[in-house]
Amino acid sequence: MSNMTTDMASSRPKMKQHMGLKASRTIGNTLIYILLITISIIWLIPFVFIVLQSFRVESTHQVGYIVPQVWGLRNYTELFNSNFPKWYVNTFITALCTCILQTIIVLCMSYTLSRFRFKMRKPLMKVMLILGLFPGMLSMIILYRVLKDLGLTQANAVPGLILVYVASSGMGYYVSKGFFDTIPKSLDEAARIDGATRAQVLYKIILPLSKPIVIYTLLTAFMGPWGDYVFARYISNNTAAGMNVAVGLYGWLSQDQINKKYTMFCAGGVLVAVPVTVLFMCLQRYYVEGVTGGAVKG
Amino acid sequence: MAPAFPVKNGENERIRKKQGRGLPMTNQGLGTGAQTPQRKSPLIVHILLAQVAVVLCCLLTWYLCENVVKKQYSDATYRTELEMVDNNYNAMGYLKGENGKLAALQYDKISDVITKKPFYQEIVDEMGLLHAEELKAGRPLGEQDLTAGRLMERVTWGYDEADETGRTITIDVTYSDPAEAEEIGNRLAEKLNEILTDKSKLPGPPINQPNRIEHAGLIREPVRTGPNTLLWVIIAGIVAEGVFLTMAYQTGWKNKLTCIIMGFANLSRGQVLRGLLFFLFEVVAVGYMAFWGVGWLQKLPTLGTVKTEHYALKAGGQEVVTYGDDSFKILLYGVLTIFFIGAIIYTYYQNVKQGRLAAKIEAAGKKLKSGREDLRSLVDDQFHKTLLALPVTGITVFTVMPIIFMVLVAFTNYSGTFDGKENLFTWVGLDNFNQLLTWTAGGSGNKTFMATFGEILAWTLIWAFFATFTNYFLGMFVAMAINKKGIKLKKLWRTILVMTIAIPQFISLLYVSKMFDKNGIINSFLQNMGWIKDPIEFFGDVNNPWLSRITVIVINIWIGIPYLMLITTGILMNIPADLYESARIDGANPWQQYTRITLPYMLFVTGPYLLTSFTGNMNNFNVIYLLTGGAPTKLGAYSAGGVSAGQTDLLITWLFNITQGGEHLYYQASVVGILVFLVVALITLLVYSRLPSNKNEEDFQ
Repeated sequence: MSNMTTDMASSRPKMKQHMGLKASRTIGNTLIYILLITISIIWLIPFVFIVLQSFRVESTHQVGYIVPQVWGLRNYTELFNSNFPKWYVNTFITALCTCILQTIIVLCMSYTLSRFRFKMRKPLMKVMLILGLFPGMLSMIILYRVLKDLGLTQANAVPGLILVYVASSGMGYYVSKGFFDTIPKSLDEAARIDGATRAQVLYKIILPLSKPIVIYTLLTAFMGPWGDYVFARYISNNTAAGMNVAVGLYGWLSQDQINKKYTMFCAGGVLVAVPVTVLFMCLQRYYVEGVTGGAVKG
Repeated sequence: MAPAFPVKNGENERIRKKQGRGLPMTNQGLGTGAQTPQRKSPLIVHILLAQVAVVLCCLLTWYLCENVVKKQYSDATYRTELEMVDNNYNAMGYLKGENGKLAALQYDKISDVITKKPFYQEIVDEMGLLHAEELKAGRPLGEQDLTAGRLMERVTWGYDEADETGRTITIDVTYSDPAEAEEIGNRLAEKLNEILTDKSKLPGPPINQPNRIEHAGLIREPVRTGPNTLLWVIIAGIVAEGVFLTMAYQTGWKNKLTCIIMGFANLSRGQVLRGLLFFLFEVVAVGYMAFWGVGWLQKLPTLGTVKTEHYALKAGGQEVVTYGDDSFKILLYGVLTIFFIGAIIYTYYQNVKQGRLAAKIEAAGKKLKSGREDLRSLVDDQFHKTLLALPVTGITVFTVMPIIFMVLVAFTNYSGTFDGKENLFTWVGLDNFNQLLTWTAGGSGNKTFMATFGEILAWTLIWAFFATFTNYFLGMFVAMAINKKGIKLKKLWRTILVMTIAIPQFISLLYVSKMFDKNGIINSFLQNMGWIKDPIEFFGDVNNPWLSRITVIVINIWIGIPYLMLITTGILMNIPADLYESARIDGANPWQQYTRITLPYMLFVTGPYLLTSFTGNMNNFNVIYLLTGGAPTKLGAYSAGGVSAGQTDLLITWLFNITQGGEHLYYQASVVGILVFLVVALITLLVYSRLPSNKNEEDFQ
């Protein structure tokens, strides 16, 4: 709103040019509207297609048209006769446990690095920076063998997967550390002077102020495992009972299965995407805050 | 070295009193009317005494190794295995002869004992010829050890719990003499063979058809490696040298004793919690190192020598596997042990340090921290230790350890063939890195490892560059378009784009990759419109790799713009509006405003983000793997164990395919991983220090 008024004020002295400016602005804005509408269509079209094809009954193949000739819920009912419910439950449990545990770990790590000054702080941060440059996939070779010896792979992949996601999550502390850095230290100091312990400062002062970052961390920690492919593929190792939705649905698009399962993939995709999208849209504000904050502070 | 601080008289008297009782190491020269805690005898005496103790320790270790421990490894172990299959083919019996005396005879059901006693009696009699006294102990056979738990341990496969058709018999026998063991084993195998051939001797009663013995024979367990005396003596020497030298430098008997009994200095001064923790750590450390740690270290240089053997049993021909060493475990536990040794040294240092500190505080007449206070400090002054304990442990175990392990794997031949269990793998030095030096192929027409690596690296860098900067500029453009004055429904446009972030990438990418398929929507559409005749192979055209590559980059724009739009929106809004205002007054056109104000500001603020985004794109597994899977596959490319590199493969997807496909060339993957790290680290190092926005982090506070 304030933009508008300053805009008006600045354009008043140039009354002569006013008409020309207004015309060029209208043309510019029209072009932008056309651009934005095109972008929106391009961005939404694949998802519209998925939804439409998930209701197609007449054929399970890839076909050259989009709108189904015969509509029906067969693809969805078929899902319940497949491994899909199992995968869905696996994914849900993994994502839920991961998001809670990972949030705790990330907050511990980032809060400590933001608030405490101790001897090993800088070396610790440097080591984590260097570790982050290694391709994480490489460690899966050994983790798979070790988890297999512990019986946490294949059919029992869920706990193994949670362990893999959670254990190293402390390295992703950057965004929330950036957030904690913005909370004034004077708050801590005031509380300390009043006799609060460090732990009390965290629970009673900092955490109530940290709702946005807690929600951001929970959200990203949930979405990660929800759509992860590569670690889940390693740990489940071709055992249907231990797969998550990503690995399971990927298999449906393989050469020998795609003609039978293509529309089921679309239906499964819709069921996977809808809850997480709804969740995301509800908490969008926090996500935007986290992402913008995190990018600026590196 | 000796701390010069006053000590209360009482303390000194206590020292003297204790000295009077005669402590082996420290009673010389102490205790004649000392007023200060300073050493009464010269340091050199303590050091010399320490050397004596070291020599004694080495001798003791040598004696123990040669005369006590090695004995336990001298016996070869034999097992006699007998498998019975009943009429349903789902049950087995298992006759085990191991190590000497008849320890247990097990049946799964009492009824079996009654019905089949004659049969088992026959076998046991055969063994009883050599161990008559055991059998004549008077206990009826089959009534010992009838615990279900042990039984189920023995039945490793084929036992059907539901209809209780399993027939299990286990006999543990100990032999003191390998020759005797072999003899008993062979006789038993012969006897069983006889039973096998003579069907009338099979155990009854038949229900539908008689049970039968499937196979039987002698199994020789692999010979375990005993302790390497020299290694043990050296280790004992080093440890003793460290311990006794430290001891020589301590003053006061409490602090001297704490060098042997960790935590004693704290414990004896009333700091129970600290003392107990140190002591517990010592117990665990000594126990682990003695029983396992040194054993792993001993095998580390060879990564195992005892091979796994497959052979047929004497009767029935069943193949049996006896497992030897496991190179993987040796490497893993070897590395773990080295880590643990580091932890031991650190803890030991802390132990000594804490002891000195406690002595100092005590001498100054101050109160030592109690266990309660120690615990309280963990939520207060030392709260960071509490908070970091879990994350740092997780990172150490699940990131640091695996990385060290995988770096070591690059110096071995660990692969699907040499998996460490069936075939031991071993150190190969720099062999895996030598292939990096050869650029030209040896004539088979395939490219060398290095040539393929070079090509993939080049594409990876091109990809990372375009993926990062197309997204960056287009995302910024979209953000500016939405931000433009007079554009309505700003929230709607943003929401539409942001929504696509929420949808898991594997769904959107897999679906889009199918849209671009040979018979996907895009091709159908183009054909229906009559624009093309034959479908375009976006991802499958071997002769036109750039089509796939450009398609991938374009689709990546679709993936990346919403995210970049979000990031840049916030920053764009932060640019002071008066900058634009004055630029406009100076007559700058929008393009000039963009290049002179917006872009420099954006680049300054998002510098670190661009860097991480670049390295992130180099390792962008999802987009490439889910879209193309690396296709089209390059002809004549270096094929690592049957996995050839594709033309859109990044180093990271190539690495994945090497570990997954064909022969699982883990060592090759490890080499690739190390190279990826070096490239990424080099780029980070070169760029990061030059970033203008590389600010001091304290500035934010």
